[in-house]
Amino acid sequence: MKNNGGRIDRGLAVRELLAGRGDELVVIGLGSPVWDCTAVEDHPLNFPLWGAMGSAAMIGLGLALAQPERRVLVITGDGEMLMGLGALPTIAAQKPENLAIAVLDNEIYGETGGQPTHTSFGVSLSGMARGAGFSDTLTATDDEGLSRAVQMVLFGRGPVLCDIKVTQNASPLVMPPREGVALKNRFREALLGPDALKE
Amino acid sequence: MTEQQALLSPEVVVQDLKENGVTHVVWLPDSETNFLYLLMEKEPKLDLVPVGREGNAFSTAAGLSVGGAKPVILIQNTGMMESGDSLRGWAMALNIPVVIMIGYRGWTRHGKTQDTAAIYIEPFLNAFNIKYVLVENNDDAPRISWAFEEAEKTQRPVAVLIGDEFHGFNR
Repeated sequence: MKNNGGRIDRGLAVRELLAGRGDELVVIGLGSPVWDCTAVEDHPLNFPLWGAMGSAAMIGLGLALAQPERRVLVITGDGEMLMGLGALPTIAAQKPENLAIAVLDNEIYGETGGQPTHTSFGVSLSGMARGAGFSDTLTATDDEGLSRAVQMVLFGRGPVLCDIKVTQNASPLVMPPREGVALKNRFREALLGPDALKE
Repeated sequence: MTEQQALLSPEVVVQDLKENGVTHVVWLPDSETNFLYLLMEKEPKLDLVPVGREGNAFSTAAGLSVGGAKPVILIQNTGMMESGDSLRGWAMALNIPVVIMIGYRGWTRHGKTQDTAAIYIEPFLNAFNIKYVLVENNDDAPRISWAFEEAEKTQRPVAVLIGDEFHGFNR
């Protein structure tokens, strides 16, 4: 079932976001989105983040600027995105056409006990991205919205942000390697080739 | 005080950035670096990425570096202290070899400064075990290249404190 009272099954949402990824570069905000994406595939062009919370979008911006010919998808949670809202105007100002952000918005801090985030009180992440100047935004709450979100992140002219309202169930704890430098090196090797590791 | 020439010229700094292969300058403007901005904007080899808050500079620079570019961060000492967790989580935890050029607001050679931004910046860098050099004038400019070499060698961030006491980059 894709629609659960105005929420989309989060596992399904992630699978559909990643199904057509091709050689897309995928930055994953720390916490549940990392488990969700790794459960689909621990892909070498995944860059799961263990670092400072609130910066996934900016890591994505840096990658998008460094690799303008590649599409970059940031998948993160609403709590993580809320912590780094200053990213939105900076990204909008840079206008990276190859950058998409998908927020898995369950309206709670799932890793810390389910406390409500600001989005549970009606704060609109897509509205803020639209106000900042993103090329396209949407809030997805059903099958049709998820399909549009998938099309946007795969093919839309960036920067785009899709706020995907997902179920609040816990993610399966499927973890990538926990060592940030190892993940960075794996990603760089997959992206830039073995010479990237010569330091 | 008699009229003084700017001790550290922005042309020298921009030349150093180019010689060290910098592709992107991630920065937040402040009053001391405006003239540097005008030069950088005209320089086709440098892409400017202004951020809204200094902490964002570290994640942006990490993304650039991971993607194969060579960023430098240009912020003031106030913003450096704002960036503590981003410095830890991105530049240090991911071994990002980035040079951080820091405007040393409050720097003086003449007695104690009252500016807490100056009082705390070096203890801050020492607490994070960040190597740093002080650049006050054009004669110190080779230290900028040293910082880039050290960052590459150690795969860690290295700081350059810009302590042009009289003029900053203004003139």
